[in-house]
Amino acid sequence: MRSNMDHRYYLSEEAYRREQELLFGRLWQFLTLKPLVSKHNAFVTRRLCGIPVVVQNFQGEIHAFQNVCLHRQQALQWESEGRRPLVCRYHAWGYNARGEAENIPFCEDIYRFSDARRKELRLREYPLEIIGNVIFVNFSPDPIPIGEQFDTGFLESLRSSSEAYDDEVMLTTFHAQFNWKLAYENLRDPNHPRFVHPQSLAKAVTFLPRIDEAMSAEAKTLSTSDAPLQREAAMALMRRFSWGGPDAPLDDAPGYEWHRRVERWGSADWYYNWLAFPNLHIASATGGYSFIVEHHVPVAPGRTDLLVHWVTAKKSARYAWSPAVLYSHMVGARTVLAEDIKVMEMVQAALHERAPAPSPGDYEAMNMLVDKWYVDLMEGRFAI
Amino acid sequence: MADHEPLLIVGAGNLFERALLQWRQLEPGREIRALELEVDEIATLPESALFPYAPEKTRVFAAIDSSALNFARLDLFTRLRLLGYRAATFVHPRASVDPSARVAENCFIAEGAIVGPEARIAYNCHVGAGATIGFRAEMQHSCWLDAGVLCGDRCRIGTHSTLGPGTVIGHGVKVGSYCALEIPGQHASDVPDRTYIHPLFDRAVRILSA
Repeated sequence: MRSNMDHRYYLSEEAYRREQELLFGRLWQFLTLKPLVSKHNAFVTRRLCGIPVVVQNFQGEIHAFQNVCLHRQQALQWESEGRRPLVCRYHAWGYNARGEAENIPFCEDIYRFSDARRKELRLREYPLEIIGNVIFVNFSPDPIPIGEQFDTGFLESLRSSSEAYDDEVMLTTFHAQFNWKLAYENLRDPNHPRFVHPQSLAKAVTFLPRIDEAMSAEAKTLSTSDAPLQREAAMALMRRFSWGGPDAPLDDAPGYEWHRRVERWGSADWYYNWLAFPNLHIASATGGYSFIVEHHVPVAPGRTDLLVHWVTAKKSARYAWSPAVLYSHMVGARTVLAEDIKVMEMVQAALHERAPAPSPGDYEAMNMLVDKWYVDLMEGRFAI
Repeated sequence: MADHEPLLIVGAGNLFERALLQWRQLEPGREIRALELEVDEIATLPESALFPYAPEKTRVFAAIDSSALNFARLDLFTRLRLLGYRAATFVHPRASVDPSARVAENCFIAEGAIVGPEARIAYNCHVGAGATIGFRAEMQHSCWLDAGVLCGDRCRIGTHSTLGPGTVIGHGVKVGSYCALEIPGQHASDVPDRTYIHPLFDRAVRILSA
């Protein structure tokens, strides 16, 4: 098979902008984990699709707004995570759960806004969907139902597993020099761990590439066809890009002392993976005792911010050394992440105008289907 | 060294070997014994291994390296205390500890360290060679300062925080609890609880909880 993915989709500013508009601007995408905004006034800020967004808890209600004050365009919340009212630090405009500028100090004396103008002062709000402990946001003026992006089985698996997350979350960001799509092509490739992670991940888990004959035939037919995907078929195909559940048995499941102190999700000694299209990856390398939540945020054609969250399953009782558990596991997870990041950065570095097109094998049928879908979207053959 | 009761050094790793070596060098007349633990014994500490050493006649020193934010060492120290043992503190004769400073039990103050006036070092801390603790600075329990760390006057290091070589904490700066600062450099403003600055990570790692 030959891939339809052109180097432009990884290198070009124009393709990046088009992708932001046609794909990220239309789909539900991961925003944050609910435990980070579970208390009154707790907030998280991110920059997605070029939009600074704040998601904040108002007396138990969670809302997402553009993180820009309506007065002088100051960022309302400065930190990436924190807990304070939604009040601008510049001139102290305060906003409520509806995004209204509820408190403007000295409003009548010095601003002299009319009642009508005052009513117009409302932050732009973005719709949220909260699945278990996972919060998605949508920037489209006419968002698709989340059930059109993810099928019911996937949403149920995501809800069930994420409800097992503890509320103590370790997080960090890596600034990687590759296009975000390379990460997901890599995650859908079970043949890479034995070559890229021989001394780390592949020691604990054996991922076996399998060929799905029906999918392989479908990918060959679709990728060589000039016929564009129709929207309904494209949306149905997209729902297959997200999946989750047991992926590979753990060869030698470790039993750490802290495992006795958390409520494990499930009971199987398997490596679990969840891929939420387009750019969320969750894994449990401990058979449901802990989870890593990876959000690949595109920031430029060749740059991706990788936000990594690490949580154990819910504690059955608090224990003092839980920070040490999180820290030691994050350092361990860094080894695997670093190996993947290095490979993808070298792929990105080798891409250029005359680079050969990829030559995927039959085991990569899912990547081929994603490629066909992506190219048709980018070339305007259908729209989300 | 004020204690002259027999001393039992319990633990594993570099601190264990170093404490044994240096204590024997500095107090050749003292009865100093060693109980080296296997990794899986640190969490369980078989009481039978301690049987020959009566708590009322023996001082102990729990010596485990700084892994797991010093929790392993605290765990061992706590087990020994619950069995009735009192712990000794090691202060190298070439360390300078101001008479007004307070250093609690099971601490290790290495050669060349300087502990300033009215500084307070809580139990189970490690102050590496050449490290400096300023005037009225405070180290809460189970901290680990590596060699050459500089903590300014009136600064505070939260419990279970570990500071790697070359870390400089400015005057009055508060480092939160459960932090690991592993990249050399100066911290001129407060460091929140559960912050991890490590060469493997592009940005600080944080733990947030509801």
